[in-house]
Amino acid sequence: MKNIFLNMGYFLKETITVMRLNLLSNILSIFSTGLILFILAMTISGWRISAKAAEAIEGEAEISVYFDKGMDNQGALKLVESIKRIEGVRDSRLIGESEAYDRMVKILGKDAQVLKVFDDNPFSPFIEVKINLNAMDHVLEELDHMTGIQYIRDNRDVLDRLGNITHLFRILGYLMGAAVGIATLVILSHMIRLGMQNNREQINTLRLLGAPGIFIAFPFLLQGLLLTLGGGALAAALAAFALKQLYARMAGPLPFIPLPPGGALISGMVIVILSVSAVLGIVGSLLGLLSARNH
Amino acid sequence: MIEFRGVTKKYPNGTVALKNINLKVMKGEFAFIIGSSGSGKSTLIKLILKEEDATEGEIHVNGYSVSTMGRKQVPYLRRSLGVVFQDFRLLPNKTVYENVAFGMQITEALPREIRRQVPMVLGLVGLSKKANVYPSQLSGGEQQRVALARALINKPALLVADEPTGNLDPETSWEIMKLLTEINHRGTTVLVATHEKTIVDAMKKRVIALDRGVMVRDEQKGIYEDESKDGQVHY
Repeated sequence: MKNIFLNMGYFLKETITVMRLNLLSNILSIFSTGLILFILAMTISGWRISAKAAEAIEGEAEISVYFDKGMDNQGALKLVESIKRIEGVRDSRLIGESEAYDRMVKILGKDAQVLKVFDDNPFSPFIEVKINLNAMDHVLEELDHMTGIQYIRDNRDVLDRLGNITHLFRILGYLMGAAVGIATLVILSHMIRLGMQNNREQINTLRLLGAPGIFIAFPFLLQGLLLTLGGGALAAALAAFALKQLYARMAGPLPFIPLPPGGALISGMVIVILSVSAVLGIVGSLLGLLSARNH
Repeated sequence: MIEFRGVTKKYPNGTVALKNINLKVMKGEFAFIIGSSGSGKSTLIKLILKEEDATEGEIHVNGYSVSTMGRKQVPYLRRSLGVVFQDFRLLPNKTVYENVAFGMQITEALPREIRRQVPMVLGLVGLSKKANVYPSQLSGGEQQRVALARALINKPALLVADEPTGNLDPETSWEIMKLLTEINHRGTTVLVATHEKTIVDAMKKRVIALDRGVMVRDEQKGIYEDESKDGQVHY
């Protein structure tokens, strides 16, 4: 360890020399790892955005419980209290006929004129139940066992689809992470192995002069780290630019989509990408060194 | 300093490179290992450097038991020796100064110590003015002098040279041999593997002759060829 710190200047100089010897392939490696990491950065950002949207929509997850027409107000309020006690229910509230009517007017806007066709209020009172999306099955099962309930509108299709989209993004994220990791490790370990092959004679001389393994290997390890960090920095810059553009385009026409704060998303993404690239750089270099030693 | 006890080296293809070698080189000695190509000179040097392992026997170098030492110990053994190769083996991307300094860097020497020591050794081999040039800009003799400086930088007690004049013209070869003699006079043990008859005959140093892996002669103040009573020439 003392050896590494004492000779850091030598190692950096040596790394630059090794990189200069294969300048073009090193530049291409930075670009290719940069583009691969850019795809990872965008997938991670898409994952975070979709998770935020899903979280916001999950918070709005609700079902409507219609009770028997013969039930009086007292009975309906008792039912509301019973529903509140079900695990997974965040809140439940009685919505009277007139509130139901007003809500529909709000939804229909100008088309609300059509409601004037009816002589009486066509809407029935119901209980609005806010639930945790994960507990939906349990809540519906419990409601099935309750007396006085005529019909439940659960929006299950919409909620299920939303859950599936979030799940899909998560799986896509894992797959992309694995693909990026493997591709970067393969590129990098080949680069390091190639570098060592090209310098085989010199490495042999260093060994004969008594240079310890770490002394010989460290410049190659640094090379791998610099290549992926370069790629990571390129990916982070491209992804930051792309996300800024995306936010600018979505803010105007699609204001209802809940997005995480742009600054936090970008800085988080930069930290993740640089950390991932550093880890991949070290692991890839070690794999390359191991493979060069075995050959 | 160097001791071989019953050392045999057999390569995996069945070639026996050295057969039952018993040899002792004491501190401060200057010895030539001579023999034609394939006699086992290079194998002997490789065994000293632990580039190869002995098949049988014991080797002791500079206080290290080379035949039993672990892999992690090998760099320490090599750093305790100065080594000069026929093909110089300089690092082409480093200047003369950096090539010589490298020998100290691997021993965790302090930078100020390196800055003090390198010019001194370059002065010894007469290359002070070429410190900042690259090996490709030097003649063969100069390159070998850089290799000598690199070998001497850690003040080794033992210097091993494998055909140090093999790639040099006669005049330059003599310059290198003069340097090796001077180094020996300063107290460093010198072991030179060579097949340069003129040099061996003229220097009148200890001669250890190998022939097809067998040690056939070990003489103080020896010469290259030995015409024995049977009239045959022995190395």
